[in-house]
Amino acid sequence: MKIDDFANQIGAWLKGEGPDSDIIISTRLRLARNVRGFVFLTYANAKQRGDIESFIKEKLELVSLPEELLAPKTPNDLGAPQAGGKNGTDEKPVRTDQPGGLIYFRMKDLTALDRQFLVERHLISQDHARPNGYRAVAIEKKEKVSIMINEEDHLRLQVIHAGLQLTEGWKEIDKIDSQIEKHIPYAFSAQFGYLTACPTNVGTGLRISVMLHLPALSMSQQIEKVLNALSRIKYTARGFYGEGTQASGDFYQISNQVSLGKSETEIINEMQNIIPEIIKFERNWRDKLLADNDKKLKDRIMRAYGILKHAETITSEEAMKHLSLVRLGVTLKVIKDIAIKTINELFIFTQPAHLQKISKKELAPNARDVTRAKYIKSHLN
Amino acid sequence: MLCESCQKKNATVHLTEIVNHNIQKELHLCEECAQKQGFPYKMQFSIAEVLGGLIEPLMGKLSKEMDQIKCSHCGITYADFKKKARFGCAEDYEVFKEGVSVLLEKIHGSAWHRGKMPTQVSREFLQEKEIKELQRELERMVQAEEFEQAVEIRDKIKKLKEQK
Repeated sequence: MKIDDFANQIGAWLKGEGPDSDIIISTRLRLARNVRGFVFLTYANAKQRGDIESFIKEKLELVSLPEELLAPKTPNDLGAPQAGGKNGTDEKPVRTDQPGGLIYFRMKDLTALDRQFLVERHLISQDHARPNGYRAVAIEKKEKVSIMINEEDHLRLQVIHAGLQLTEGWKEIDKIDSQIEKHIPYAFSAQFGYLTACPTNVGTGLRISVMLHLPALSMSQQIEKVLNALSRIKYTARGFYGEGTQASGDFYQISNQVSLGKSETEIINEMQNIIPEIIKFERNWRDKLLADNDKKLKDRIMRAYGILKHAETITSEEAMKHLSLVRLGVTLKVIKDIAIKTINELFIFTQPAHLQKISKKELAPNARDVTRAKYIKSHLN
Repeated sequence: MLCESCQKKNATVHLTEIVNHNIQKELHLCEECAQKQGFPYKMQFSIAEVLGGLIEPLMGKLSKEMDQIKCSHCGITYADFKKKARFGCAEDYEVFKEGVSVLLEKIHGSAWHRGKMPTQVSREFLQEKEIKELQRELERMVQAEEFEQAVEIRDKIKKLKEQK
């Protein structure tokens, strides 16, 4: 499987299914782990980084993902119309298929476009999209699981689910972690737990990020209240692409900050209590906006829909803004002829690297805006 | 607050000069003047910077002596750790334990792990716990002069220790 095959499919977590999927896009869990005996990456030289990467790659080949996670073998199950090798591209594969169900990519073997594509897919972090430093990623075919090698820690395991699925997500990542642990000795201390490069991740190494779509709270300027309350209890909210990104398209990723002193289950239970409160708040404000002046809200939604359906050129930022309103329209049944899945996909597929992957060529920003408008139009009409 | 240099724009860059842990001078500038005066300021604040700023005052007087402590495995000093807020290797947690515990307490509200453990560790951990419980039981038996049972428990402890 190549990067292009990922471009032809839709990540399982984007399908707009799962509990509370009108507001919750995804639930992502990640575990930070380091290999016992190796220096941490901040202070590792090139040779040490190379040794760590080879060691992990070799060991990961022995790991089998839990059976329920292994993707079916038939091309149809990739969920993509063009999948099955009919693209006619003969480029040299830059991957190693592994028996355990993980596909391994070394960052240095990928083009800048491919790396950016993986960022847009939420399969690697922006920091990881650099060709140097012996970085690599192992991805499960359905994109539910990805393992970053040599990011800030030797290993960063990630599991993404559609909707709010905290317990399921934990069960899965826990199993994968235990499988890996059979082959890779982790740096661990009885007092401090799993040892990480940064003191903010130590202990469980667990960070849970729930991505919420909160257009009504943004519109009514209530979002600040939520963010303030969250920071008081040591939770953070970040944008669509995580650390350091602006909240665009009214998406907020809410994550726990505390990773030490609480068990994984305690962290999950906390989230389990916090997130529904935010969902309730957003739903109430959606109702209120409709009750106060439904013509005004519907007008905003339909205007956004109109622009997306007819624009000849559109920037990523403008597209995100209007797609957010259209998404709200779909969930409020103001717009009835589009599925939420289509809108979710558009948020990702209209990102720069995705557009270039779909067009199968590099595009300058202006050309991208034209392609983006065309792509959106074709999916909404 | 107005920029101390041009007195026109709002001061958005706040600089504090610290010499030997004492605040020497504070400067409040607008972005433009800050750049003109050559202060490299950043649009984004990294975690390392925040943490670095957090670590320094925590340890107070101890801090200076601790700066010299060096990890024999990865070679970084406590001063290096403070600067980057990143550990060099797993050993650092033990080597810099004193400072690390205080810092973790501050960040997480605790310095003790309560979650998952690697299987091997949890096996040892449980064994350790069992031995401790048996030792307490042994003391109780000795005090109660239940020597027969005490001998039994002693043998159990011995067996467990051999397994380790």
